[in-house]
Amino acid sequence: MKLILVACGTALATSTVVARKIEQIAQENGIECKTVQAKAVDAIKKYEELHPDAIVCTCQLEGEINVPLINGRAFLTGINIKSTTDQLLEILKK
Amino acid sequence: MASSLLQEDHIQINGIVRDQFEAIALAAEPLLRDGSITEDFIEAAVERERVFPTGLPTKIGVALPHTEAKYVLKESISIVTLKNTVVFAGMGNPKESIPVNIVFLLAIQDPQKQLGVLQTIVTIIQNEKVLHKIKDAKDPKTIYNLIKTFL
Repeated sequence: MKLILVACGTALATSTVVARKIEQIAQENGIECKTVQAKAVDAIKKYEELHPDAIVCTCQLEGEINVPLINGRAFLTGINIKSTTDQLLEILKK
Repeated sequence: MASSLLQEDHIQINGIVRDQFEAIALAAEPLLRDGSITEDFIEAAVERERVFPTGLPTKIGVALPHTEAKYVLKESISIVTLKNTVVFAGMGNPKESIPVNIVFLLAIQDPQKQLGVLQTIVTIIQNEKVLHKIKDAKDPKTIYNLIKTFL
């Protein structure tokens, strides 16, 4: 089971859409994946608590992060979505 | 369900504003008027926009300002098209300047419940043709009817 932490400013709007998109991509590829949403201010704490496989965010994050950090904006704009999806899949398939 | 989030009288066209913060305040006006948001919503959304900007470099620039659920009394969305673009900072990249034509203001309390409408907005902003139609709409009804076809 993969765990992806999804962060945005309020954990209210964009991260919800992005989290569903990630789950959908995982499902389409037959990969078990759970997402957890976090506000940007709580993201580092959640990261330390949960040890996710990656963080996908639509906000800037500061702090020490030792897992891949993916900019999830493409899941909203559709721009460069293939490279973002590939980046995610590479982590999910590990 | 989701269609009740957007009302025709929450849509304004050809708004004239000086900057992104005025754009947020303008977009919030109809929601404040009908009691969908608290008076503090605008200040909170502006503050959030400073820290976590919401501009997106879609074919026609859009912004999705919003703020915390505690400022929302009744979940709603409002839309403003701008006569002249104003610059929003980029989502996830505050140093990026994005000229924005269309503002979708989100007053959301329960994102899981509103996932459908949030996904609809994302579908719309990825569709250049639809964005052009929204930008060029001559009245709110045109935008309302257009968006309703996606809900």
